[in-house]
Amino acid sequence: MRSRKLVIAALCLIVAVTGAGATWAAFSATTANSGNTAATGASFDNARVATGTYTGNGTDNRNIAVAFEPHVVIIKGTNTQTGAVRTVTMSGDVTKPLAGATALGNNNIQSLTATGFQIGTNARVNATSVRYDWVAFEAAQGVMQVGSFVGSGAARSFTGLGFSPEYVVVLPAGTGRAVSRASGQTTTFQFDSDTGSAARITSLDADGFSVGTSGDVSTSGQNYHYVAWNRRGGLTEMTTYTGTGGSPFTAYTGFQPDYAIVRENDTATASEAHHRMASQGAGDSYPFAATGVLTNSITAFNSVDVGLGTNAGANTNGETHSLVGFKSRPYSSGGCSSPGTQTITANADSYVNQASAGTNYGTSTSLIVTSRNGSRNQRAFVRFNLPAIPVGCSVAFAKLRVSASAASAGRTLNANTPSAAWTESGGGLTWTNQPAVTGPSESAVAATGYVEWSVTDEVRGQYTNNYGFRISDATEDDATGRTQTFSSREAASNNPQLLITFQ
Amino acid sequence: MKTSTPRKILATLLVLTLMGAVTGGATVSALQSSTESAGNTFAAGSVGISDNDGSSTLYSVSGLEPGKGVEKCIKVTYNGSLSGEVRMYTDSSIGALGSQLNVQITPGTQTGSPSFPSCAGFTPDAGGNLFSGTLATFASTHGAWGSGLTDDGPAAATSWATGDSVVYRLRVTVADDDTVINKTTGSHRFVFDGRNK
Repeated sequence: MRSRKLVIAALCLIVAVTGAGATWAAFSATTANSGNTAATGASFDNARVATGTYTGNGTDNRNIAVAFEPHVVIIKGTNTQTGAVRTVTMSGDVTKPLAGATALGNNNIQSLTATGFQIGTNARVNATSVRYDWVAFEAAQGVMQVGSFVGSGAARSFTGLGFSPEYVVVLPAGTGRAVSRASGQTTTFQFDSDTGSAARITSLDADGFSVGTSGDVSTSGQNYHYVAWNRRGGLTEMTTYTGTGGSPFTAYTGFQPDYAIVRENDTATASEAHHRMASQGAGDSYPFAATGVLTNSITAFNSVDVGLGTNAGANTNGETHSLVGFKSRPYSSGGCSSPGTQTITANADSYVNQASAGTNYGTSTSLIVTSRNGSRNQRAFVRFNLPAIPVGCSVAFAKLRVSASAASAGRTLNANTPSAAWTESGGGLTWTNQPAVTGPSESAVAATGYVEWSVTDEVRGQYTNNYGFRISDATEDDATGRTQTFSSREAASNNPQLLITFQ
Repeated sequence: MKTSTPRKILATLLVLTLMGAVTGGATVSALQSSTESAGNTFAAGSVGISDNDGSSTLYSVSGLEPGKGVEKCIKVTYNGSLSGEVRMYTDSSIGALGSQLNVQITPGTQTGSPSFPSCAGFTPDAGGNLFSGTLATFASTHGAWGSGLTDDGPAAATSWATGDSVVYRLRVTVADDDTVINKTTGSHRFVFDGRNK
């Protein structure tokens, strides 16, 4: 009896010692990674979009207010006015018509300013009593980039956008046509009636785009301006849809656009692009060509789509169409603490002379760029102290400006990024010790006065390594000898400048 | 062989009891009356798991924009002697950004000796992602061991064995949507919980 009691007691002890006594738990061991956090910014890089309307009055130098400093402005009048566009890369009083084989013209959009844009008296933008609608865009890193290049006559590729574009517009300074290509299109179209061309924008690439040999994109020695957009969910949409020819019909964007362009991707039958600004009246849209309001093309901006009518340009049964939609960003004004453009003058510049390879010209009042054979090329170097990027801002656009007192007009001049530091004087930069250059070339056409290069991507990079710029003739060793004489920072006036737009 | 006495049975039970206590009750043995067999021993199996984070976070990022994110890797090693399984979960409060923070968790291997949390040399296993969804969804569906995300070990293995390692790649990306502006997650942890199978 005593032993039985002991057994029972032992069993009870087992139950007690092993805890709950009801189940046997598996072995367990854990390791954890703790303290992870993620936070989004109080502002984002923007490609702000705004639309508006005004009535023409024929008054010259008239300012139209925009809530930000625009980098691209498009205007279209309600009657027989051709659509007009100006980009920040265009110098002086020039604007590109968006239809027809017409070169840059003056007295249209005369300038883009810190608070909007200025118009002249040309009927495209300011005929008395005519209603005009406009759309303004602000460039932003990773979303939209504006630039320029000099045509070479050959097919070539451009890189450095920092994104793979979904929509690219190329605007020739000469009589070439303004053209565009959207992802999903197999060719590049004019804005006015056209069946497209495979020799214009030939592809949208991982970090840029490529052009063919068409004069619309690559006439040798001619300036071209471009605007490239990236898709941004909820803000910028590039998509395609198949028309039904019927109404009502909508094309999905996922947001309510403030501006949209549609185009039939028909390479057999000519068609034209249409666009609509949110400022337009209900049901209205425009062609880019010199005709009036359309009432059955882009008819509405709905909460998540675009309403389309039965116009063939926007809704041909069975045809693929491209839609490019843009939405404004209502919160963006609070993001950048100090938006706007800052102008900086050079803090170091010099040039190097192949014919005197060991000589330093750091104190010269000129910067010489020469293309000449017999080892007589010359190149200029210039560097700027970059301002601190204001809180919440990024570099939206940057432009290098160097003023030529004498020029071999028409030469293509490249601005490149040196790959290493250089010293202005005091045993500094010479032809012999000049650094190599890296990255893509930015190009501009030589002329007297300020010559300008779009250097947005380069300046963004200079916030990491600031080696300035090298300016050289795109084709050195010219048999005749081609020389540009620029004012250096030591000159009394017209010193090299770097314009940086923060937003 | 001698017939056991009640006293010896009691002694055996007490020994078993003490062993059970020492091993944390992790093994199950049927109780039985038996004859004495001198010299027998019980060796308990083990489960152990570790990672290479050195107490650093996988990510602690601010200023993220729509569509942007981070890619980080963590190596988890199983040190137990018992065949095991590992489940991953988070029991943390996720915060407002959680529903707009896309997370991809992909198991794989890594060549070389990259420092934590680099994903250099990462090769995903053929099975693809273990999880793809928002951080909030991960937390709500995998918040504890019972609902943890199960991984059966390296590549085609069906359980974890001693010395097995798996590198988990976490791709954490903000939704491409501007309504994500100015939002944060809570401080959250990823738990790798190993148990014998």
